[in-house]
Amino acid sequence: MKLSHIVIIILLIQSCKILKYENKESVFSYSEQKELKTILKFYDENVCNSRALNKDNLKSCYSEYLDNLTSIAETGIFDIGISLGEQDSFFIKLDNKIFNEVFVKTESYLNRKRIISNNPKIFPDTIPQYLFNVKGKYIQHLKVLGKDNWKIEEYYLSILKDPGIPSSLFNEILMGYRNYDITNDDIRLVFALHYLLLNKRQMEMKKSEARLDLELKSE
Amino acid sequence: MRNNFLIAIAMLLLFVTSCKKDEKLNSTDNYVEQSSSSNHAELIEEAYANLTPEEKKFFTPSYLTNTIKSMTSPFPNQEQTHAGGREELDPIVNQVLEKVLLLNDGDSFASTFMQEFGFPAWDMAILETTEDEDGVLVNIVHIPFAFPDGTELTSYLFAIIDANQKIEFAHIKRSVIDPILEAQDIDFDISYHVFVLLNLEYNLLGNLNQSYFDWLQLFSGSNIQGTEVTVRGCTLPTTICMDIITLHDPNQVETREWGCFETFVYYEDCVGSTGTGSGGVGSGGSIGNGSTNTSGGIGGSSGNDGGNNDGTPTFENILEFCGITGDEGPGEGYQLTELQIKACNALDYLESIEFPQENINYLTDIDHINLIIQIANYIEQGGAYELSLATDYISMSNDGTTSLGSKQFKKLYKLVVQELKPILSSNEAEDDFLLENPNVANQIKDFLDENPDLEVANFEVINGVAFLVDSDGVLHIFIEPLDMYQSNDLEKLNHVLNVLNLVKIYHCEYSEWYPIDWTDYLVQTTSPHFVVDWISPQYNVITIGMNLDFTLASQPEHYLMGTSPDYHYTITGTGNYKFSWNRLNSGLPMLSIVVPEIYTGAIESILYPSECD
Repeated sequence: MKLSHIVIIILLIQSCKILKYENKESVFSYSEQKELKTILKFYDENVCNSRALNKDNLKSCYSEYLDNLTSIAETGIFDIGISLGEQDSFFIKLDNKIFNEVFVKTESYLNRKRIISNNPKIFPDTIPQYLFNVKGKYIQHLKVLGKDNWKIEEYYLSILKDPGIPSSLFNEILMGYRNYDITNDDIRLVFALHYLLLNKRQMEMKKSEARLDLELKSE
Repeated sequence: MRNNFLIAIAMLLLFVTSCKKDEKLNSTDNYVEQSSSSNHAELIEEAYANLTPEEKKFFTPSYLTNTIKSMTSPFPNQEQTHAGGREELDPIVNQVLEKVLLLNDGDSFASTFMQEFGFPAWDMAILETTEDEDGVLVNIVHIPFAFPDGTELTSYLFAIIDANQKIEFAHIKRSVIDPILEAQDIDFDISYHVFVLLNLEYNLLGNLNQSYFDWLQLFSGSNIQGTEVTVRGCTLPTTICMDIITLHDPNQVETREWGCFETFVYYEDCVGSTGTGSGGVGSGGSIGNGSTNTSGGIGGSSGNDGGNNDGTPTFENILEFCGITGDEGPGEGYQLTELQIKACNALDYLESIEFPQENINYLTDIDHINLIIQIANYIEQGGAYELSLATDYISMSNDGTTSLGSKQFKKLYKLVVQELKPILSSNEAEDDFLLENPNVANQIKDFLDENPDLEVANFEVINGVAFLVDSDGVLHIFIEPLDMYQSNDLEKLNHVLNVLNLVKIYHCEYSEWYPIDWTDYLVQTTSPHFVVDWISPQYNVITIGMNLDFTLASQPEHYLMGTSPDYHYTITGTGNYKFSWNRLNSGLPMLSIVVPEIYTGAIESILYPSECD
């Protein structure tokens, strides 16, 4: 076998290993796929590191993580274990192009409630949020994945209706994660982007509430 | 008793004609013996499942009673109680119902019965326990039949259950009884059936049939074995005989004298009366060599001179008898009946305690003698509470805000005034609201029963809706919950919007947003999330696509949701607008409504107007 043939074969093998989804319909460019891989790696590492779970076995690591997420959600707490600072720092470093293919930045109006002198009072605030970009490549990617996976197809259709993640979809992923194959990189990427979007909203709300507490304390 | 021969012939004739179509009912097979208790229930359920919807009405214990009740005036049959499902029936009556159900399953006859005789009122059955000739206890069940819009019974079903649980039937038709009554033929001893029909018809329809009284008087006059004459009337012991053998076997030639019993018929006009008269029917007596336990005797009534068509005296008569209307009293030597005396005393008493005259006028207008006596008794026994109860009842009956019978109202009043009021700290207007809305009162009671540790911080009725804030600061609104399995998407959406709108109404009253618990408003929350694409012009918008997204599952049994319009945001690129509500004290999503941006103003005006009215 000639050396050139060996090189070609190696290149082919390598290219197949990058991401499974690149074989579908090439929604993302090669560089975009690398960026997505970075996002997935960031999430994988946080999932396992933050919980000190078994790093050698991603499946058991994720299972324990998602199970814990569900348990604490039942007490009214949502915490994916990634701080707002960590998440924002990561996305700042990320290529803007791929970010915009996945998300759009917007603002939400939050009414923070406090009891002041026995009277309820509302302190409105504006907080930054992410939504899925329904015109971006990630939505197209979900559509492609949905052709072979009806759960992802449902996810895709729900996101089209509400790019801010509908309540039912939140519940579906939270309570029904066992219905998804988390050993699949594509699926794990869906989970990663899903929870990072929700985490941004949750953390910004907490930050706003904490800021208000500080302001009221200083008055 | 004239002679046994006549009785035997009469009974034979009666039941040969009445039982032709009832052969199926006369089956002597014993399903209790044939089927084990384990598969009996299955047989019943299978037989019930095979029924048509119309036939199911036939076997619904309270169908006829409730239908009649819904079609009649506010005051009929106020002494009755109505059983709900089969499980609420007396077990013996239910045993009869199940027997008929099984017989019908083999060869359906219910449809024919419904066409010819209407429906049975299983819940109004009269039950007797007595002894047969061997001294063994047997149960006898009488079930009235009538058409829902009928004014009289068409027939009744007679069932006898022996010690071996063997059930035998006879179907006693009015069409057989009536010619005997009309002909005033006393050669046929139908007194037992007249008594039964009289009781059943009174209980179900509130009628006291004059022809029954006439015949009984005539028959008793010829069959009196002893007479007790009182100063106010006569109590005439009347002997009634039945031959059970002929009841369930019309082809049996031999007739056996199963037993006779005495009962008492009260005739008001036995002393020198000029009218045809009538009487109340006493209960009980003895049967054969044992005793009978007949439920539901009828309170006396009278009326030989100016009485109502149904035998009830007009109030004018009562007032005359009482001497209230001046000098038109009954005259020297006239003896008042017991009922008249009771009515007079009741009126005297009500006047002595300065019972509101308009209420007395109302009662006299509707000619309700028994109600006056009943109310006077209540007040006399209970004092201020009963006075208040009676006053409220009459006032609310008068203005149409209640259609309950007095017993039902008394029960509701107790619930509202004695049980709920101390917990709710409700004011008079709120009490009135609950009395006018028994469903809401019962809903609140159920809610408090389910939450025994809950304390009420505030109870309020606003715009005809009851609101309760508990000590945890959760708002509960008492509206009918929605069964999500039985509702379409539009109904679900409208229900959710209605709840949010009511939250807003309470907010406008108290300038505070309270969280709510969705389990108050939704039934069947095991499938709690749904998404609906909704297009409707009903909210002053030409067309609007609305996406309702709702989840309750991630916080089992803690479906508390913050109701303030926490946040909303414009969705870049799609032009949609999203209203979100979170779970209490968390950022977890619970409900969101997404609408096109151009309609956000319209939707906001529904849910959260900028200013409260």
